[in-house]
Amino acid sequence: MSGTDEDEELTRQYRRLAAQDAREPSAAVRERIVGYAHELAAQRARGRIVPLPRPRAIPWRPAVFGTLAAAALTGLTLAPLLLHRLREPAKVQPRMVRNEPVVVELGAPSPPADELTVQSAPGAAPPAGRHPSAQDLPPPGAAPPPAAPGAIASITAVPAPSAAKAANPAAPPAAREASGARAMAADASATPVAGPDPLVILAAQGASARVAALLEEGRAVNTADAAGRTALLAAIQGRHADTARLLLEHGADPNLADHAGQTPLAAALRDGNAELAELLRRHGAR
Amino acid sequence: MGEDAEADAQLLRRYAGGEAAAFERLYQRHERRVWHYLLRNVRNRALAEELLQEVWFAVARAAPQYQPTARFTTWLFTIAHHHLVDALRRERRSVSLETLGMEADGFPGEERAEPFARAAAAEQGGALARALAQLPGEQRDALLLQMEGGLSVEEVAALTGCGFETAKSRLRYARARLRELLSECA
Repeated sequence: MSGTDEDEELTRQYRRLAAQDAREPSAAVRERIVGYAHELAAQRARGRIVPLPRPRAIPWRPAVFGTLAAAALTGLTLAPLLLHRLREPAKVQPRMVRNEPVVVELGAPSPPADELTVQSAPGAAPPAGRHPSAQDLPPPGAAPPPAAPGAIASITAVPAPSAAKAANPAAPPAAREASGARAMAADASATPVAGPDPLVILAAQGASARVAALLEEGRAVNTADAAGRTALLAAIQGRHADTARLLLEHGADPNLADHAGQTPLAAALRDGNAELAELLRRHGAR
Repeated sequence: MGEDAEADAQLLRRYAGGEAAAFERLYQRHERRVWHYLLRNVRNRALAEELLQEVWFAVARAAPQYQPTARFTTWLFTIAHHHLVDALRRERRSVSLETLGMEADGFPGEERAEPFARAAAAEQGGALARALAQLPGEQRDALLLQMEGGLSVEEVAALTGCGFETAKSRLRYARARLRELLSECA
Protein backbone atom coordinates (compact mmCIF):
# COMPACT_ATOMS: atom_id res chain seq x y z
CA MET A 1 0.00 0.00 0.00
CA SER A 2 1.46 3.41 -0.96
CA GLY A 3 1.76 6.30 1.46
CA THR A 4 -1.20 8.08 -0.09
CA ASP A 5 -3.38 4.99 0.14
CA GLU A 6 -2.36 4.55 3.77
CA ASP A 7 -3.24 8.17 4.46
CA GLU A 8 -6.62 7.79 2.84
CA GLU A 9 -7.27 4.60 4.77
CA LEU A 10 -6.32 6.34 8.02
CA THR A 11 -8.59 9.28 7.19
CA ARG A 12 -11.49 6.90 6.56
CA GLN A 13 -10.77 5.08 9.81
CA TYR A 14 -10.60 8.41 11.64
CA ARG A 15 -13.95 9.53 10.24
CA ARG A 16 -15.56 6.18 11.10
CA LEU A 17 -14.34 6.31 14.69
CA ALA A 18 -15.09 10.02 15.07
CA ALA A 19 -18.67 9.38 13.98
CA GLN A 20 -19.03 6.97 16.90
CA ASP A 21 -18.05 9.65 19.38
CA ALA A 22 -21.39 10.65 20.83
CA ARG A 23 -20.09 13.49 22.98
CA GLU A 24 -21.78 16.76 22.14
CA PRO A 25 -21.81 20.24 23.61
CA SER A 26 -24.69 20.81 25.98
CA ALA A 27 -27.95 22.28 24.75
CA ALA A 28 -27.39 25.31 26.97
CA VAL A 29 -24.15 26.13 25.14
CA ARG A 30 -25.89 25.88 21.78
CA GLU A 31 -28.67 28.13 22.98
CA ARG A 32 -26.21 30.73 24.20
CA ILE A 33 -24.30 30.74 20.92
CA VAL A 34 -27.35 30.94 18.70
CA GLY A 35 -29.03 33.40 21.06
CA TYR A 36 -26.03 35.70 20.96
CA ALA A 37 -25.90 35.52 17.17
CA HIS A 38 -29.60 36.42 16.96
CA GLU A 39 -29.21 39.30 19.37
CA LEU A 40 -26.17 40.57 17.50
CA ALA A 41 -28.03 40.46 14.19
CA ALA A 42 -30.97 42.33 15.67
CA GLN A 43 -28.74 44.94 17.28
CA ARG A 44 -26.75 45.38 14.10
CA ALA A 45 -29.96 46.05 12.28
CA ARG A 46 -30.64 48.81 14.79
CA GLY A 47 -27.08 50.07 14.44
CA ARG A 48 -26.01 49.21 17.96
CA ILE A 49 -23.23 47.04 19.29
CA VAL A 50 -24.01 44.13 21.53
CA PRO A 51 -21.82 43.68 24.58
CA LEU A 52 -20.25 40.27 24.78
CA PRO A 53 -22.26 38.02 27.07
CA ARG A 54 -20.43 36.61 30.01
CA PRO A 55 -18.88 33.36 28.94
CA ARG A 56 -19.75 30.31 30.92
CA ALA A 57 -18.11 30.47 34.28
CA ILE A 58 -14.77 28.77 34.57
CA PRO A 59 -15.13 25.46 36.41
CA TRP A 60 -15.12 26.08 40.11
CA ARG A 61 -12.43 23.63 41.02
CA PRO A 62 -9.40 25.51 39.74
CA ALA A 63 -10.73 28.66 41.42
CA VAL A 64 -11.29 26.92 44.76
CA PHE A 65 -7.96 25.13 44.72
CA GLY A 66 -6.23 28.31 43.63
CA THR A 67 -7.77 30.21 46.54
CA LEU A 68 -6.83 27.48 49.01
CA ALA A 69 -3.30 27.38 47.67
CA ALA A 70 -3.01 31.16 47.96
CA ALA A 71 -4.34 31.02 51.53
CA ALA A 72 -1.89 28.26 52.45
CA LEU A 73 0.97 30.20 50.92
CA THR A 74 -0.02 33.34 52.80
CA GLY A 75 -0.24 31.33 56.02
CA LEU A 76 3.18 29.82 55.48
CA THR A 77 4.61 33.25 54.80
CA LEU A 78 3.05 34.94 57.80
CA ALA A 79 3.38 32.07 60.31
CA PRO A 80 7.12 32.56 60.93
CA LEU A 81 6.51 36.26 61.59
CA LEU A 82 3.72 35.56 64.06
CA LEU A 83 5.61 32.73 65.76
CA HIS A 84 8.65 34.92 66.00
CA ARG A 85 6.55 37.58 67.69
CA LEU A 86 4.99 35.06 70.13
CA ARG A 87 8.38 33.70 71.06
CA GLU A 88 9.70 37.14 71.82
CA PRO A 89 7.38 38.51 74.50
CA ALA A 90 10.17 40.82 75.56
CA LYS A 91 9.49 42.87 72.44
CA VAL A 92 5.94 43.85 73.46
CA GLN A 93 5.77 47.03 75.41
CA PRO A 94 2.57 47.61 77.37
CA ARG A 95 1.66 50.94 78.78
CA MET A 96 1.63 50.23 82.50
CA VAL A 97 -1.39 51.70 84.23
CA ARG A 98 -2.33 50.22 87.57
CA ASN A 99 -5.81 48.69 87.91
CA GLU A 100 -6.71 49.72 84.40
CA PRO A 101 -6.71 47.72 81.19
CA VAL A 102 -3.34 47.78 79.58
CA VAL A 103 -3.24 48.86 76.00
CA VAL A 104 -0.62 47.15 73.92
CA GLU A 105 0.19 48.74 70.62
CA LEU A 106 1.14 46.13 68.10
CA GLY A 107 4.28 47.03 66.26
CA ALA A 108 5.52 49.21 69.11
CA PRO A 109 8.99 48.70 70.59
CA SER A 110 9.26 45.88 73.10
CA PRO A 111 9.56 45.89 76.86
CA PRO A 112 11.99 43.83 78.89
CA ALA A 113 10.88 40.25 79.56
CA ASP A 114 10.47 40.61 83.31
CA GLU A 115 7.90 43.39 82.89
CA LEU A 116 5.64 41.11 80.88
CA THR A 117 5.65 38.25 83.37
CA VAL A 118 4.41 40.60 86.08
CA GLN A 119 1.60 42.11 84.06
CA SER A 120 -0.48 39.12 83.10
CA ALA A 121 -0.92 37.71 86.61
CA PRO A 122 -4.12 38.88 88.22
CA GLY A 123 -3.64 36.38 91.04
CA ALA A 124 -0.51 34.45 91.65
CA ALA A 125 2.08 35.34 89.13
CA PRO A 126 3.83 32.47 87.34
CA PRO A 127 7.49 32.11 87.95
CA ALA A 128 9.61 34.72 86.33
CA GLY A 129 10.59 33.82 82.80
CA ARG A 130 7.59 31.49 82.26
CA HIS A 131 4.65 32.51 80.15
CA PRO A 132 1.20 32.42 81.73
CA SER A 133 -0.58 29.19 80.96
CA ALA A 134 -4.06 27.68 81.42
CA GLN A 135 -2.97 26.50 84.84
CA ASP A 136 -2.51 30.08 85.89
CA LEU A 137 -6.09 30.98 85.01
CA PRO A 138 -8.93 30.75 87.54
CA PRO A 139 -11.40 27.87 87.06
CA PRO A 140 -14.49 28.65 84.94
CA GLY A 141 -17.20 30.35 86.99
CA ALA A 142 -14.86 31.18 89.79
CA ALA A 143 -14.88 34.73 90.99
CA PRO A 144 -11.85 36.59 89.87
CA PRO A 145 -9.37 37.11 92.64
CA PRO A 146 -9.14 40.60 94.00
CA ALA A 147 -6.70 42.64 92.18
CA ALA A 148 -3.60 43.06 94.16
CA PRO A 149 -2.16 46.52 94.28
CA GLY A 150 -0.11 46.96 91.22
CA ALA A 151 -1.55 43.92 89.42
CA ILE A 152 -2.83 44.35 85.91
CA ALA A 153 -6.55 43.64 85.40
CA SER A 154 -6.31 42.67 81.76
CA ILE A 155 -4.33 43.20 78.66
CA THR A 156 -6.01 44.56 75.59
CA ALA A 157 -4.21 44.60 72.29
CA VAL A 158 -5.21 47.24 69.80
CA PRO A 159 -3.60 47.80 66.45
CA ALA A 160 -1.37 50.80 66.27
CA PRO A 161 -2.86 53.50 64.04
CA SER A 162 0.18 53.59 61.88
CA ALA A 163 2.79 51.17 62.95
CA ALA A 164 5.72 52.87 61.39
CA LYS A 165 4.87 56.16 63.09
CA ALA A 166 3.89 54.59 66.40
CA ALA A 167 7.07 52.63 66.48
CA ASN A 168 8.73 55.37 68.40
CA PRO A 169 8.80 58.66 66.63
CA ALA A 170 11.77 59.78 68.65
CA ALA A 171 13.92 56.90 67.50
CA PRO A 172 16.42 57.42 64.71
CA PRO A 173 15.10 56.63 61.22
CA ALA A 174 16.96 53.32 60.95
CA ALA A 175 15.58 52.04 64.23
CA ARG A 176 12.09 53.21 63.32
CA GLU A 177 12.37 51.39 60.03
CA ALA A 178 13.38 48.18 61.77
CA SER A 179 10.62 48.25 64.35
CA GLY A 180 7.94 49.19 61.85
CA ALA A 181 9.02 46.73 59.20
CA ARG A 182 6.52 44.07 60.16
CA ALA A 183 3.63 46.46 60.02
CA MET A 184 4.68 47.65 56.60
CA ALA A 185 3.39 44.42 55.13
CA ALA A 186 -0.10 45.30 56.27
CA ASP A 187 0.13 48.90 55.15
CA ALA A 188 -0.81 48.59 51.52
CA SER A 189 -0.64 52.30 50.89
CA ALA A 190 3.07 52.17 51.49
CA THR A 191 3.58 50.23 48.26
CA PRO A 192 3.73 52.45 45.20
CA VAL A 193 1.38 51.34 42.45
CA ALA A 194 2.23 52.01 38.84
CA GLY A 195 -0.48 54.03 37.13
CA PRO A 196 -2.10 53.08 33.86
CA ASP A 197 -0.49 54.35 30.71
CA PRO A 198 -2.53 57.10 29.02
CA LEU A 199 -1.38 56.16 25.54
CA VAL A 200 -2.54 52.57 26.06
CA ILE A 201 -5.88 53.71 27.47
CA LEU A 202 -6.53 56.12 24.61
CA ALA A 203 -5.51 53.49 22.06
CA ALA A 204 -7.91 51.01 23.66
CA GLN A 205 -10.68 53.59 23.25
CA GLY A 206 -9.74 54.27 19.64
CA ALA A 207 -9.17 57.96 20.38
CA SER A 208 -6.88 58.42 17.37
CA ALA A 209 -6.66 62.21 17.56
CA ARG A 210 -5.56 62.17 21.19
CA VAL A 211 -3.16 59.31 20.52
CA ALA A 212 -1.66 61.37 17.72
CA ALA A 213 -1.35 64.36 20.04
CA LEU A 214 0.48 62.29 22.65
CA LEU A 215 2.82 60.87 20.05
CA GLU A 216 3.57 64.32 18.75
CA GLU A 217 4.38 65.39 22.28
CA GLY A 218 7.11 62.81 22.13
CA ARG A 219 5.62 59.91 24.07
CA ALA A 220 7.29 56.60 23.23
CA VAL A 221 5.07 54.65 20.87
CA ASN A 222 6.01 51.25 22.29
CA THR A 223 5.21 52.13 25.87
CA ALA A 224 3.39 49.36 27.75
CA ASP A 225 1.17 49.18 30.80
CA ALA A 226 1.72 46.98 33.85
CA ALA A 227 0.43 43.95 31.96
CA GLY A 228 2.92 44.54 29.18
CA ARG A 229 0.14 45.67 26.83
CA THR A 230 1.32 48.14 24.24
CA ALA A 231 -0.86 50.82 22.72
CA LEU A 232 -0.88 48.87 19.46
CA LEU A 233 -2.09 45.70 21.15
CA ALA A 234 -4.78 47.71 22.97
CA ALA A 235 -5.95 49.22 19.68
CA ILE A 236 -6.08 45.78 18.06
CA GLN A 237 -8.00 44.31 20.98
CA GLY A 238 -10.44 47.22 20.73
CA ARG A 239 -10.69 46.61 16.97
CA HIS A 240 -9.69 50.19 16.19
CA ALA A 241 -8.08 49.90 12.79
CA ASP A 242 -7.45 53.64 12.40
CA THR A 243 -5.68 53.89 15.73
CA ALA A 244 -3.63 50.78 14.99
CA ARG A 245 -2.65 52.19 11.59
CA LEU A 246 -1.65 55.47 13.20
CA LEU A 247 0.52 53.72 15.77
CA LEU A 248 2.15 51.54 13.12
CA GLU A 249 2.89 54.62 11.03
CA HIS A 250 4.58 56.09 14.09
CA GLY A 251 6.82 53.05 14.30
CA ALA A 252 4.96 50.83 16.78
CA ASP A 253 6.57 47.40 16.96
CA PRO A 254 3.93 44.91 15.74
CA ASN A 255 5.66 41.97 17.43
CA LEU A 256 5.64 43.12 21.04
CA ALA A 257 3.62 40.70 23.15
CA ASP A 258 2.04 41.37 26.54
CA HIS A 259 3.06 39.46 29.66
CA ALA A 260 0.61 36.69 28.74
CA GLY A 261 2.44 36.27 25.44
CA GLN A 262 -0.30 37.66 23.22
CA THR A 263 0.93 39.54 20.16
CA PRO A 264 -1.14 42.04 18.16
CA LEU A 265 -1.34 39.57 15.27
CA ALA A 266 -2.56 36.79 17.56
CA ALA A 267 -5.21 39.14 18.97
CA ALA A 268 -6.41 40.06 15.48
CA LEU A 269 -6.53 36.45 14.33
CA ARG A 270 -8.26 35.43 17.53
CA ASP A 271 -11.03 37.87 16.64
CA GLY A 272 -11.06 36.71 13.05
CA ASN A 273 -10.25 40.24 11.98
CA ALA A 274 -8.57 39.74 8.64
CA GLU A 275 -8.29 43.47 7.94
CA LEU A 276 -6.24 44.12 11.07
CA ALA A 277 -4.20 40.95 10.58
CA GLU A 278 -3.33 42.04 7.05
CA LEU A 279 -2.44 45.52 8.25
CA LEU A 280 -0.11 44.06 10.90
CA ARG A 281 1.50 41.66 8.47
CA ARG A 282 2.18 44.53 6.08
CA HIS A 283 4.12 46.14 8.91
CA GLY A 284 6.16 43.05 9.60
CA ALA A 285 4.06 41.22 12.19
CA ARG A 286 4.92 37.59 12.54
CA MET B 1 -13.17 27.18 -3.64
CA GLY B 2 -15.67 24.30 -3.49
CA GLU B 3 -19.44 24.51 -3.42
CA ASP B 4 -19.61 23.96 0.31
CA ALA B 5 -17.04 26.67 0.90
CA GLU B 6 -18.98 29.06 -1.30
CA ALA B 7 -22.15 28.18 0.51
CA ASP B 8 -20.42 28.84 3.85
CA ALA B 9 -19.20 32.22 2.67
CA GLN B 10 -22.67 33.09 1.43
CA LEU B 11 -24.25 32.07 4.70
CA LEU B 12 -21.82 34.23 6.60
CA ARG B 13 -22.47 37.16 4.28
CA ARG B 14 -26.20 36.71 4.75
CA TYR B 15 -25.74 36.63 8.50
CA ALA B 16 -23.63 39.78 8.37
CA GLY B 17 -26.51 41.32 6.45
CA GLY B 18 -28.84 40.60 9.36
CA GLU B 19 -30.25 37.15 8.55
CA ALA B 20 -29.89 35.30 11.85
CA ALA B 21 -31.11 32.00 10.42
CA ALA B 22 -28.04 31.88 8.18
CA PHE B 23 -25.83 31.76 11.25
CA GLU B 24 -27.81 28.86 12.68
CA ARG B 25 -27.33 26.96 9.47
CA LEU B 26 -23.62 27.67 9.50
CA TYR B 27 -23.36 26.66 13.13
CA GLN B 28 -25.18 23.39 12.61
CA ARG B 29 -22.94 22.60 9.69
CA HIS B 30 -19.67 23.10 11.55
CA GLU B 31 -20.44 22.72 15.23
CA ARG B 32 -19.35 19.11 15.46
CA ARG B 33 -15.98 19.60 13.79
CA VAL B 34 -15.03 22.58 15.90
CA TRP B 35 -16.28 20.79 19.00
CA HIS B 36 -14.18 17.71 18.29
CA TYR B 37 -11.15 19.83 17.50
CA LEU B 38 -11.41 21.62 20.83
CA LEU B 39 -12.47 18.67 22.97
CA ARG B 40 -9.79 16.33 21.66
CA ASN B 41 -7.14 18.95 22.26
CA VAL B 42 -8.12 20.06 25.76
CA ARG B 43 -9.73 16.80 26.93
CA ASN B 44 -11.87 18.76 29.34
CA ARG B 45 -15.55 19.07 28.56
CA ALA B 46 -16.21 22.27 30.52
CA LEU B 47 -13.30 24.09 28.95
CA ALA B 48 -14.15 22.78 25.49
CA GLU B 49 -17.68 24.15 25.87
CA GLU B 50 -16.36 27.49 27.05
CA LEU B 51 -14.02 27.65 24.07
CA LEU B 52 -16.75 26.60 21.67
CA GLN B 53 -18.78 29.56 22.85
CA GLU B 54 -15.89 31.97 22.56
CA VAL B 55 -15.09 30.79 19.04
CA TRP B 56 -18.64 31.14 17.74
CA PHE B 57 -19.11 34.47 19.51
CA ALA B 58 -16.00 35.66 17.68
CA VAL B 59 -17.37 34.34 14.39
CA ALA B 60 -20.65 36.20 14.95
CA ARG B 61 -18.84 39.41 15.82
CA ALA B 62 -16.34 39.22 12.97
CA ALA B 63 -18.84 38.19 10.29
CA PRO B 64 -18.99 41.67 8.68
CA GLN B 65 -15.19 41.71 8.39
CA TYR B 66 -14.92 38.27 6.80
CA GLN B 67 -13.21 38.38 3.43
CA PRO B 68 -13.63 35.22 1.40
CA THR B 69 -9.98 35.09 0.37
CA ALA B 70 -9.68 31.79 2.20
CA ARG B 71 -12.20 29.04 2.83
CA PHE B 72 -14.61 29.64 5.66
CA THR B 73 -13.35 26.55 7.48
CA THR B 74 -9.77 27.83 7.36
CA TRP B 75 -10.95 31.10 8.88
CA LEU B 76 -13.08 29.28 11.44
CA PHE B 77 -10.27 26.97 12.54
CA THR B 78 -7.84 29.88 12.65
CA ILE B 79 -10.10 31.49 15.23
CA ALA B 80 -10.54 28.18 17.07
CA HIS B 81 -6.80 27.52 17.14
CA HIS B 82 -6.00 30.95 18.59
CA HIS B 83 -8.65 30.62 21.26
CA LEU B 84 -7.28 27.19 22.09
CA VAL B 85 -3.72 28.49 22.39
CA ASP B 86 -4.88 31.37 24.58
CA ALA B 87 -6.82 29.01 26.82
CA LEU B 88 -3.90 26.65 27.18
CA ARG B 89 -1.67 29.56 28.03
CA ARG B 90 -4.14 30.68 30.68
CA GLU B 91 -4.61 27.21 32.07
CA ARG B 92 -1.02 26.09 31.80
CA ARG B 93 -0.95 25.13 35.45
CA SER B 94 -3.85 22.76 35.06
CA VAL B 95 -2.64 19.19 34.71
CA SER B 96 -5.26 18.08 32.24
CA LEU B 97 -4.61 20.91 29.82
CA GLU B 98 -0.91 21.11 29.68
CA THR B 99 0.13 19.65 26.42
CA LEU B 100 -0.05 21.56 23.32
CA GLY B 101 3.68 21.22 23.90
CA MET B 102 4.32 24.89 23.24
CA GLU B 103 7.51 25.14 25.23
CA ALA B 104 9.58 22.18 24.32
CA ASP B 105 9.98 20.23 21.17
CA GLY B 106 10.48 16.60 21.91
CA PHE B 107 11.69 14.00 19.50
CA PRO B 108 9.14 13.30 16.85
CA GLY B 109 6.84 10.52 17.87
CA GLU B 110 7.93 10.71 21.48
CA GLU B 111 5.17 9.84 23.90
CA ARG B 112 4.54 12.78 26.13
CA ALA B 113 0.91 12.24 26.99
CA GLU B 114 0.52 12.43 30.74
CA PRO B 115 -1.07 9.59 32.68
CA PHE B 116 -3.96 11.80 33.73
CA ALA B 117 -4.83 12.54 30.11
CA ARG B 118 -4.73 8.88 29.24
CA ALA B 119 -6.99 8.06 32.14
CA ALA B 120 -9.39 10.84 31.17
CA ALA B 121 -9.52 9.70 27.59
CA ALA B 122 -10.10 6.11 28.63
CA GLU B 123 -12.90 7.23 30.90
CA GLN B 124 -14.55 9.14 28.09
CA GLY B 125 -14.25 6.07 25.96
CA GLY B 126 -13.33 5.58 22.37
CA ALA B 127 -10.24 4.18 20.80
CA LEU B 128 -9.78 7.35 18.81
CA ALA B 129 -9.82 9.60 21.88
CA ARG B 130 -7.38 7.27 23.63
CA ALA B 131 -5.06 7.20 20.66
CA LEU B 132 -5.15 10.97 20.16
CA ALA B 133 -4.44 11.54 23.84
CA GLN B 134 -1.16 9.71 23.39
CA LEU B 135 0.11 11.98 20.65
CA PRO B 136 2.42 14.87 21.50
CA GLY B 137 0.53 18.15 21.63
CA GLU B 138 1.85 19.76 18.45
CA GLN B 139 1.27 16.61 16.44
CA ARG B 140 -2.24 16.22 17.80
CA ASP B 141 -3.10 19.84 17.06
CA ALA B 142 -1.74 19.64 13.52
CA LEU B 143 -3.53 16.38 12.84
CA LEU B 144 -6.83 17.66 14.21
CA LEU B 145 -6.54 20.86 12.17
CA GLN B 146 -6.21 18.69 9.10
CA MET B 147 -8.76 16.02 10.00
CA GLU B 148 -11.46 18.27 11.45
CA GLY B 149 -10.71 21.57 9.74
CA GLY B 150 -9.60 20.17 6.42
CA LEU B 151 -6.54 22.44 6.45
CA SER B 152 -3.70 21.83 4.03
CA VAL B 153 -0.10 21.38 5.19
CA GLU B 154 0.64 24.99 4.17
CA GLU B 155 -2.32 26.23 6.17
CA VAL B 156 -1.33 24.17 9.22
CA ALA B 157 2.20 25.56 8.98
CA ALA B 158 0.99 29.16 8.70
CA LEU B 159 -1.48 28.76 11.51
CA THR B 160 0.81 27.04 13.98
CA GLY B 161 3.70 29.33 13.18
CA CYS B 162 6.13 26.68 12.02
CA GLY B 163 7.78 26.00 8.70
CA PHE B 164 6.24 23.89 5.97
CA GLU B 165 8.67 21.02 6.50
CA THR B 166 8.07 21.02 10.25
CA ALA B 167 4.31 20.90 9.76
CA LYS B 168 4.67 18.16 7.18
CA SER B 169 6.87 16.14 9.46
CA ARG B 170 4.53 16.60 12.43
CA LEU B 171 1.64 15.38 10.34
CA ARG B 172 3.60 12.43 9.04
CA TYR B 173 4.65 11.32 12.52
CA ALA B 174 1.17 11.93 13.89
CA ARG B 175 -0.43 9.80 11.19
CA ALA B 176 2.10 7.01 11.62
CA ARG B 177 1.65 6.97 15.38
CA LEU B 178 -2.12 7.15 15.16
CA ARG B 179 -2.18 4.27 12.70
CA GLU B 180 0.00 2.24 15.03
CA LEU B 181 -2.13 3.01 18.08
CA LEU B 182 -5.40 2.29 16.33
CA SER B 183 -4.11 -1.03 15.01
CA GLU B 184 -3.13 -1.96 18.58
CA CYS B 185 -6.70 -1.27 19.67
CA ALA B 186 -8.24 -3.23 16.83
